[in-house]
Amino acid sequence: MQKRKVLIVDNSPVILKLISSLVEKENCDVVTAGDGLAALDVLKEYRPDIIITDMVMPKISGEKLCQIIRNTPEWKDIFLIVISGIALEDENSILRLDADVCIAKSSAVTMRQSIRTALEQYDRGERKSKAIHGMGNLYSREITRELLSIKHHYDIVFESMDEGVVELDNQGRIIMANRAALRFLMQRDESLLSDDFREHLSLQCRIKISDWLDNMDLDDLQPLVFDYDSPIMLFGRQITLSLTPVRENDSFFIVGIMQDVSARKEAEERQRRLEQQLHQVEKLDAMSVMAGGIAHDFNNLLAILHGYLELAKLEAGPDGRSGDSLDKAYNALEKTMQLVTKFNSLSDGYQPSKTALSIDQLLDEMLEYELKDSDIAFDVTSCSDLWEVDADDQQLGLVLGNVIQNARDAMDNSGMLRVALDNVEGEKERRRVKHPIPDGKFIRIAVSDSGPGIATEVLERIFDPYFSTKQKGSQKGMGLGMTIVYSIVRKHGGYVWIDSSRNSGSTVYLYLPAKLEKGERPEREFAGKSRLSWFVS
Amino acid sequence: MRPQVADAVFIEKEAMRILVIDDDDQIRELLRRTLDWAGYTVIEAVNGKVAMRLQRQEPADLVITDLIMPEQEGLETISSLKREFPEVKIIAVSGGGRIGPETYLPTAKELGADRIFTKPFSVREIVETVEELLRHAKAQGADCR
Repeated sequence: MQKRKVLIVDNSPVILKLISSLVEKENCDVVTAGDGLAALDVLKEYRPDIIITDMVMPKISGEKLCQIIRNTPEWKDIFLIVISGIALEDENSILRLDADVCIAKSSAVTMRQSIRTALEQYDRGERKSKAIHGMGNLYSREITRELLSIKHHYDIVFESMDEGVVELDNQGRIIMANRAALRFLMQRDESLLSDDFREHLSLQCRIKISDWLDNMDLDDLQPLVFDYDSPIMLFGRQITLSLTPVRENDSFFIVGIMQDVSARKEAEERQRRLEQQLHQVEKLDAMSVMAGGIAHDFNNLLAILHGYLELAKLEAGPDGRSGDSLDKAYNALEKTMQLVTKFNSLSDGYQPSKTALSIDQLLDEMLEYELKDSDIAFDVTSCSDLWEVDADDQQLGLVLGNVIQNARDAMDNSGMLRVALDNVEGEKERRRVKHPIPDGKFIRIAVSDSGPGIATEVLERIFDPYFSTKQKGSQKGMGLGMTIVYSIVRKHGGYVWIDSSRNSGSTVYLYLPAKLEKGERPEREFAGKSRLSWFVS
Repeated sequence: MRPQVADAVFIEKEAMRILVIDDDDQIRELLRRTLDWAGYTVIEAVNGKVAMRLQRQEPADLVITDLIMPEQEGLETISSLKREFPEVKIIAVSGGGRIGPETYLPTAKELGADRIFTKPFSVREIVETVEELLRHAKAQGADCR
């Protein structure tokens, strides 16, 4: 008869020796392992017919070992004999193990008899007997029952924690992991246990942990922490990880605790983005208050200047000697007044006078006008039943003009300008683009250029007053263009944002409120303080 | 260089009283000098309260008033003037600023202002408007007699 191949696993050298000598006499080849982890290492090289394992062991326990064996296809048919020192007190869990034979630890004589019987069962092909051998002379110990009950409670707590907990040996191999840890690592017990923990992490983490393990000083054990500011990434989640070495005799093991901080990070990111947008609005609101105040004083001063110049001209008469000088002063003043009017359109007091209008015609006019001297081609696409907008046509012309001019300048007078017109619902759009679009119906005007794109640092400041990348001066650009666009669109109850990155062109998204049907109620506030109410909610 | 007008017309113009109400000294002076130059008699008031007192002492034929002033603001002044002196002609002037002229000027017109101007305005147009309104007033006055 061919020799049976047996793997014996027990952390007690005495019992290991006892069982080995017994089994060897029964025509078997024997390999031994000192704990569950060592057993898994043996199994990688050696496929036994029978495994005889202890239950309570350090590193990977007998219980886990059985679970791994039964759940690994190439091992699941191995004849499994478990030997338990707590068979009497923990009968039910032992029977749940799905072992082929269960033996209670007792006197050497009884155990010898039980093992012999078990080997006979193997030979007969008798599997999964639901009885425990060798219980005859045993007495139940109350203290063991109590300890087991406490352990059972700890196990439940351990498994229900939100934090992932892993235990690693001094080589960094996983010998225990709770349910949360398995979830974070997207693994099952049987595939994870005995793995090197580092294999499941990014290269950068691996290097850090290896360095840390290499420099471990048993007399000065230091933890390794990947904290909130430098979390590890696991399958798209951001997870903090602390690895704490714990001394045990002349060695150490490691307790790793993992916490999922993705939700908090996301909330923070959302908050940061909102604050940034709010800051933008505050800045522009401050600007419009200031513009209002300045415009008032300015208008007064201009009225005086203008009045006296005119009066001087009247007093000088049609052929007065200073007529020409006065005319020149007068012309410069006219330009100043136009600038003030522009500035004034930023102020809070300047409200648009809205009428229903269809955007496509105005858009075509502005495109024709702004691009007439350039080699830029344009293409307008529109959804079939585009809503009308409720807007001030002059101000809207100013908005479109500014956006088209910017696109034209970005493209250096050649290329393709695309404009897409669509109807959108504010709420849906807000969720899609993650920008605070107000509730309600909007017409979305997307103006895309084929220019070089906008650098992030420029994009952040693009709506700022007097921010310009163009050469400064009254002809080239004053840095008020996008500020005016922003201000006017906001005054209409709309929204504007820009999507761009270097080398990929830019798209300006303008949202203008659709004209409401009769009987339809506005879902947003147009003016006044409550204008921002949706913003903070 | 004063425009050449017949003495009779000049005397008639000088007899016309115009009340200028503005809290801004410079604007007031500008209007006074302009209307002086055009030949009218100009009375000044720094706010609506003072203006109403002056108007009750000796009524002006035409009032030019700013709309936003301390003490008594322009809109209130216009409505008091029209109530007490239904025949007086009123020109309302407003600057831009925190509350835009768009907000107030239409109300001013509703309350009885005959013409409205926004700052900065043209003094020539003011003079032309004053002349037109007063000519109209004289004609109306003649009809009444």
